[in-house]
Amino acid sequence: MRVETGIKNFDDNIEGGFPEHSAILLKGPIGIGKTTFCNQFIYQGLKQNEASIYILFNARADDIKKSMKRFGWEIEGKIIIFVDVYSWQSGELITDKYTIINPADLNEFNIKIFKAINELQDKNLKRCCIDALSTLFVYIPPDLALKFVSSLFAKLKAIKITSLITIEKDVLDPKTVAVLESLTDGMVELNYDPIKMTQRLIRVDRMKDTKHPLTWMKFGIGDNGIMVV
Amino acid sequence: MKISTGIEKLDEVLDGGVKSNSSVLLLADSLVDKSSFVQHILSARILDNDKGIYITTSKTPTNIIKNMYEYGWEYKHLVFVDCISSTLKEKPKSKYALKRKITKLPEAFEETLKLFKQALKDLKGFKIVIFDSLETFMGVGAENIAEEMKELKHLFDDTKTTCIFLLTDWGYEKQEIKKICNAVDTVVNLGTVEKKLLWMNYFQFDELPRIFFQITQTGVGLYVPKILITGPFHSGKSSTVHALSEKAVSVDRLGTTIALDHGYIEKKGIVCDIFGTPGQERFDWILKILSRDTWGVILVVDSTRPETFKRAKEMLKEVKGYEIPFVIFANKQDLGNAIKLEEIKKRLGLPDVVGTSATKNEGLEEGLKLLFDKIFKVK
Amino acid sequence: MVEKKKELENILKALEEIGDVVGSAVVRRDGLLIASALPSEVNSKSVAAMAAAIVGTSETSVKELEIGGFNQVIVNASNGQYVSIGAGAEAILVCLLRKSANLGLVLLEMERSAKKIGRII
Repeated sequence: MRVETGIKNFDDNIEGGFPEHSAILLKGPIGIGKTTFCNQFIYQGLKQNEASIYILFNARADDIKKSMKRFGWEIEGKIIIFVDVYSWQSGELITDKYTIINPADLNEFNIKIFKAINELQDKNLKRCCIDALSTLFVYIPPDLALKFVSSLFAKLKAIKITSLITIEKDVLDPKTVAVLESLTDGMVELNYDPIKMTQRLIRVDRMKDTKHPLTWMKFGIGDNGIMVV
Repeated sequence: MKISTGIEKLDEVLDGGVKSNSSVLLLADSLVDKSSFVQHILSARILDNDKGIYITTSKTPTNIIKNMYEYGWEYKHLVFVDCISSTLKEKPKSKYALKRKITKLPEAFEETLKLFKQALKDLKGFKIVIFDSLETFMGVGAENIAEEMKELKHLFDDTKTTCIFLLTDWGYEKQEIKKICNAVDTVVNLGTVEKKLLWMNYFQFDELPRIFFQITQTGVGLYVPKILITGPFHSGKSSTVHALSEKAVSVDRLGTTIALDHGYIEKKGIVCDIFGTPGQERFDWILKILSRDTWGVILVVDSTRPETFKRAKEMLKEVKGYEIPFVIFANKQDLGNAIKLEEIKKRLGLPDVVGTSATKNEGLEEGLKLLFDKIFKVK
Repeated sequence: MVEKKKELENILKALEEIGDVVGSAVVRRDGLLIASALPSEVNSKSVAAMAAAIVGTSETSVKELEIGGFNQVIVNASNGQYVSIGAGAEAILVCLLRKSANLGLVLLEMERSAKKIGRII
């Protein structure tokens, strides 16, 4: 059972999709399309009437919905909970029960994620996206953040969710990235072509239980989302 | 000398309360709201005229005050040692604060300790200190943290302060946790457990049984998911449910309960859902349904009608009352022809009989408290 | 009292004329059986108490949910179903139906009968 990403020509390269119940890291520089990749992955699940949890560090839920609408991905009426770790910065009064008031408070964060999971558990909860996990490390000491992440991934695996986690390239030190990699089942890398700077590239660095090419592939973002060439 | 935590059952479990000038560790799992729990204790101390110092490493002082305000807790004169605002790019208001984000953890720890010690020395008469919380610094090593905590004990002795440290166990090694525990005088565990799809918080000390709690509008209260009220027809069960509850609903027709009563109780220190059964025999089949998974039983009898006592005991048996904690409400004690309590105890041949009057709201809270004491038996 | 009971029994007999109705009963709202035309194998008194509890609980829940007035409660089982509706302030009418019953027709007849019962009691 593979979990389709919905990314044209990408699933074919990874035996149909991500391995079931895996945690996959998506690494890349700012602006390359990590969020779009996540949106496409989430939409693929919602399309199949799976419920999802989307943890946002760098945008509001409304921004994501607008972005998805532009690609023709309508998620109104679909079962998805957005855990907002972005709006706290604006200083406005927060009354939504899934908005994090303080990203440094792991207790609050943990309790709210668990509430979201409990809410969706009997509603076919299959996918989770965290965009971008690296932002968490701005507010929490790395050792503590890694402990939290480790316990979170273990929980997600236990309840049989397939997760996609993005990290911004160069925000984290190599040691932290190495530990994060060891906590996940695979890593996909996005980058700009060093020679032709406008060309975006994607590569599967590793993925457990999967036969995949190791080479960089070209991709672009069109009207219908990300397309691998 | 023992000082009260403001949570009666916790004081009982700790044999009177926390020893003054000592250090306590609240060791919590990742799903308990440990900060709110300790804020209840802090509030109780402030109400007892102690002044407090709150060292915070992840929650902002503004949010802590907001939380304490929403729960109706007292926070006057509270001084913060603010180690988080600068990380969140906010200007700290407290005199004792990290002025900028320190990226190297050992340095941040050192600075925090400096501020902590300075605050203790400056603020005379501040008797209670909260350290919320230790996991922020676990990266410098459990050994180092334990050393510093032990050293601080001397300072607590000199300044006559009691300190409560908080720590969430994010999966640390057993030895690491042991080192931290050995650096304090008392360790209380806070945890969460799932029982039949219900998530329940508990606190636990030493080898004593877990005490379940919920944090509500009235602060930390002992929590029991379900209490059953039963007894013969017309003994005053529905009246008791309504008198005890904040909100109660009864399914009754033509003056008698035909299905159930349901109420929710949230009184000082006690939180529970209470279910009342019908008393008429034709509804005895409901007793089994309603008595499932109940944690305690209140048997209500009419003090003016001893002829119903036999039926009362049968009903108690039907709801498996003898296997779980129960108390008996000898109701209608306000009526002229009510049999005296001692006589009722004799006739029923059962212990724990409390005299009540549901209509006059007398004896009800004492009776409920007695039941809770039996459910959460500590000795 | 006897005439009233006879009248009620006639109403219940008339309901049985509708092929889909297998049995029926008039129950006081506090669970006591007033008149029964239920199959002999059935423990009518128990069923009466339970039907009253079901209607009572359903009415109270509808009130708490603030979704208007209670209409009827239908209990669906693999080999049949039964419907309970109010019959005046003091009583309930319960009808045991075949699994394949035409509910629309039955409910119409039940409502007519319930009105009659309400006037008697």
